[in-house]
Amino acid sequence: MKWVRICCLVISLTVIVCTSGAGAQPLPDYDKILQIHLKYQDSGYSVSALEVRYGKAPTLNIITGNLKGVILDTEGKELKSFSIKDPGIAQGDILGPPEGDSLIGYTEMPASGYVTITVPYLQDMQKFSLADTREGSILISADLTAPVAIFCTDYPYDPDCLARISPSKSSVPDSGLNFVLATVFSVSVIIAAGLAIITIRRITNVKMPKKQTVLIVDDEPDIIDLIYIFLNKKGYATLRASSGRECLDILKKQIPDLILLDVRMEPMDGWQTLEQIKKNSASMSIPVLMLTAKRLTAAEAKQYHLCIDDYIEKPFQSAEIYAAVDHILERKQKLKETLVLAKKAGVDKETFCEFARLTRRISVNKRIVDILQVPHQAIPTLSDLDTLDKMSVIDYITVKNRDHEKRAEQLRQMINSSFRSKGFPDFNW
Amino acid sequence: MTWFSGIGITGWILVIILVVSLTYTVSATPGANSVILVVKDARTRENLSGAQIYLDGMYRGDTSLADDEGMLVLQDVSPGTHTVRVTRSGFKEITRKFIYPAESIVEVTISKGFLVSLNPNGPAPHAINIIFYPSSTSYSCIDRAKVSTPLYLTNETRFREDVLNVINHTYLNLDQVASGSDPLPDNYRERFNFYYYYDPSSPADAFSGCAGSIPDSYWNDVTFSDVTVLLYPKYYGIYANLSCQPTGCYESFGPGRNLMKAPADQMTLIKHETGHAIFELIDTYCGTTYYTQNAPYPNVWASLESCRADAQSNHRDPEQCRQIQKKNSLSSASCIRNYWQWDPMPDIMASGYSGKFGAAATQRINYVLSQSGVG
Repeated sequence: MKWVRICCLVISLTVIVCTSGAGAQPLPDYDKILQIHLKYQDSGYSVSALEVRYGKAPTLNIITGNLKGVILDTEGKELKSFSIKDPGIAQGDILGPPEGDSLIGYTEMPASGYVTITVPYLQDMQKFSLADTREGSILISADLTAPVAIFCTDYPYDPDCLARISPSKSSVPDSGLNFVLATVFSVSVIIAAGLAIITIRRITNVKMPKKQTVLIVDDEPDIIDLIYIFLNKKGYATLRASSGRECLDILKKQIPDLILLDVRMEPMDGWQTLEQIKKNSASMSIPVLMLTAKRLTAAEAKQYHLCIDDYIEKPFQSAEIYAAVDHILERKQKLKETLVLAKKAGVDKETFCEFARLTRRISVNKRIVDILQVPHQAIPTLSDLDTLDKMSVIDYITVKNRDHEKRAEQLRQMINSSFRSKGFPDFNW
Repeated sequence: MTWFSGIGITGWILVIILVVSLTYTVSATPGANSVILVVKDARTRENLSGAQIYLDGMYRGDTSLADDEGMLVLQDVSPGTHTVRVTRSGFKEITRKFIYPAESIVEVTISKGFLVSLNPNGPAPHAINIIFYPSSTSYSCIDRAKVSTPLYLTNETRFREDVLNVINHTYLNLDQVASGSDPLPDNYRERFNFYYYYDPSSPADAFSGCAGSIPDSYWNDVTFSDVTVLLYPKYYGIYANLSCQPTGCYESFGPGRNLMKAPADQMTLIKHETGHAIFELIDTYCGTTYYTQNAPYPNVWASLESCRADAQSNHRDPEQCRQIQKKNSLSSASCIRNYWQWDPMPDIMASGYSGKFGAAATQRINYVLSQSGVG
């Protein structure tokens, strides 16, 4: 009697919790199917492929036909049988003249073709056979051991794969006690899951995914249109500005995820606009990608390397725009995700932000050095002075980068130490 | 008080175990050998919460619902190759292999699915699954040839409207064309799940073969279809006698791969093809078509005797059994087949313009509907 009461208590708790949390949260879905791909030719059948996969099966009960499929278990017992129609019979109907009020028919019966039989996965399925009920002949017989084994190699912890492991191989010292403990534990897990669902629901507002927004700043409308087409195709939202001033006005109202900024504009050029963007605390953290037909000079590189995130030269290909925009925005997203983990791991915010700033700087500096090192083909005779300027700027940035890298490595080790203490994997960017 | 007084020592031990395991489950902190799984929307690149994550076949949880993180920390991941499966309502399921510890942050990108459910309360279990697929071709009565048409491929709303119109005037209107002697169940409309599949990058051709052709990507994606309806837009020009009349066709490529094509503007023809595709009814007109005695509950018999016997046992007039034939104006049979029918004309299984399903056909429709509710 007391066991009954305990069970009632546990069940009541489960029902209360599960009822409160029931609703939109879908249950784990382990539905699987067996697909038997057959080739038929002149009334003979052969197996093309057998596959077990996740998925849902059609409603076999509604089909009647002259072929009978049977699934057998390891002991040869029938697990399921179903009817199948003769494959490949096409019944065509053409509307006849309205006054005749009758259809006109045509039939196609190709001598060969393919048929796929989709049935639900069954525990212990071992063999499939297909018979012709008119003649009582077996058309095909197939061993299902291999497709099931292949599936269970990829998904060894699927409940059906676990259940296939022979009970004799597992050590079960006291099945009675284990059963009770397993039951209690399972119920606890259900209750805990219910509580977790309720908690999560209370603190969560479902938000629609937000498109990432790119502000395109260029005084050439054709360039804006072209970049708009590129970015729109990849699912980005865009804002447009045809001058530096308009860009700054937009930033007063809206903060984009990235700015694509043309250098050669009038009256305020791209560098001046960049300075204003970086002066403003609301916009200073927005990544900026410079876009221009004008070559990056050593002086510009030295002056602005701290402020820009990449540099694309016109004319450009769509792939270059995608690569640069994707790189910057993915980096930003990765930063956001790692910051969430860092918070959980108890990493000091300043430490993490310093690390983030340094890694960004290292990456951008390397890119600028790459740009400066590429020989300029448009201007065949660079003056010695320019070359010297470039070399000194490259040296300057390279030395700076070495310092950044040392400090970033120190910070990385500190952050990873906190991550490891919480069981999070090391991050390596 | 009475509840707890009867528990006893063993009972209390079990309750303590329950509480301990509950506490453990709720407060479990990440252990070593963990992998961070990030799920992203392929289109927006935003992280996606609420995606179900399975590692090597075992459900491990959903990506976080908090703060749109879209991540899940997978604990106790052993070194080696693993398979992660990600599912989310409205998105295509995806599986991806990764090697641990080479990858400790695994990003999986999932795309919106092409399958759209049309049932207001979602699909019902064990119901008959009918999926509509748009055709990128129709037929021109002006050119007397198949023509490509962008109508459905560029206008999902138009396709959806046509699909809903077909559903309302055929599948949800069956009681109006069924025989009154054997009424359909009141809830017959709930025995159908309706969907449409919209992937303009994989066009289907209703005029390739009898029932048309649909890309393999569809059959690989949708495995549970009981009937797929390849819907094509109305013919271009004006229907003209025999030379340009709409066609329908049904063909089976195995359970889960039954295909039927039909024009969006011909409701009776759609009911006729549905008679073949779902209810396995046989044509009752005389022509070059496929005859057999379907069972159980036939609407066509292989002999007069079996037609009469069936009619008698089902309280129908045996004298109404008649051979499938068509007479020309001189009253001699211009077409005659060795099969017999009972349902009166106009019978939907004989006409594409008007009629009803007779008592025999309705009996079979009822049988199929009753089977659909069986798990």
